Amino acid sequence: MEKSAGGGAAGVEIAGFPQILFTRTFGDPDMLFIPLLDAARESFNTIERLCGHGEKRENAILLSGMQLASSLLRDSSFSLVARGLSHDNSYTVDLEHGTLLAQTRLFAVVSRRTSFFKVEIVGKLNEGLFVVRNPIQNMVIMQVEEERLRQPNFFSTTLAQECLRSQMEHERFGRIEEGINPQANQEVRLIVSVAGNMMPVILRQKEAGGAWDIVDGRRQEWVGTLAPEQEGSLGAVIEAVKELFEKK
Amino acid sequence: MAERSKVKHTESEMALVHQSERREERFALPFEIEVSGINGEGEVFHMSLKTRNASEWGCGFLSPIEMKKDDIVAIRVASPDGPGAVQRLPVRFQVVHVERETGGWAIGAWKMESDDVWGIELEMMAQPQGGEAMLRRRGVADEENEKGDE
Repeated sequence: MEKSAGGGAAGVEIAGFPQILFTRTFGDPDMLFIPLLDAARESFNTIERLCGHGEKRENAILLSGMQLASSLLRDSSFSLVARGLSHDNSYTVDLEHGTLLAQTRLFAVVSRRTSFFKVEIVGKLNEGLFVVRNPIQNMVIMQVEEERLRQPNFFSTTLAQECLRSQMEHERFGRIEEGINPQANQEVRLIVSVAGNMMPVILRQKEAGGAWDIVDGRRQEWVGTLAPEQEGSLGAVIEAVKELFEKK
Repeated sequence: MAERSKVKHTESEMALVHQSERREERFALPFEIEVSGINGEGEVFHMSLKTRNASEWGCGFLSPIEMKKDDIVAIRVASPDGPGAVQRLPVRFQVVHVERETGGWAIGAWKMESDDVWGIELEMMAQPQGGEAMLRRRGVADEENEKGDE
């Protein structure tokens, strides 16, 4: 039931380029992200090649940006527009730093619940690994390999689902946070990235000097005990925080 | 209209306004320019050429290599020789007109940013040839006009 809420319009910014390349019909990330990534990567590689032939880096970046803009303009769906306008989907190519940033909106409908997400997908052109983050909550949703991004309809299906799952986990973890466990002596709550998924975890010490339980924050299930040699580092973190609050 | 004229445009807006209106006077001035870009094979080119005409926001020149409409090139006015000569920065132009000619391709290009390319007041150097809008008023067809401009 998930689908992309983004229309077909998009603005592509090439850092340092005076205008924005606009498309009315080709801007959905399922259509544009990968072709733009490929084109940007080619231009990025051109920089190194030109520098290798004696071109100054600054000039090579300028020329490669022009090449990228020209290649997009060869597609009749692109035109030049002034900067400063907002677009349903925005892409920023920074050839100097070798990065691609996409900003888009997705929504998913599951069990009569509609969720709307603004997401950013950012990564290095030459690394093949991208981070998906929620810019509103400033939270990393997942890391995703380029191969997965190349799957058809990845953004409108898989990514939208992942965003919904992440939001539900966040909400569940948020509810856990609301109540302080009266049985706990001390608790540390954290979110860890496990195989690309953000996982809420609770470290709980039931009595002073006792062992630290590791609890799955989603299911409230005990999954293990912290090894004694790891307790020292944790204790140091807690002491530092205590000190901070005592001074405050 | 008075309100509208007060609106301050960004440089990219200015470039687009100038390109869409094409009302500028053009001057038959042979500036020595260096045209740079990347060709279809991904190879960089730097060509030393002379303009056939120039305006504040555009210029025409004869290119020995083929260019395509919407190609973007960097154009820099050649610096005078001698010690202390300051090298001018390249400015991006969009190719808006291409026509095959004996000896090359007649190119019409429009500036994409507000930086001054020529470094002089053009009207101080030559008489204007007339912009496209002026010729339109005289009933001259666009195509004929573009040929005349190149």
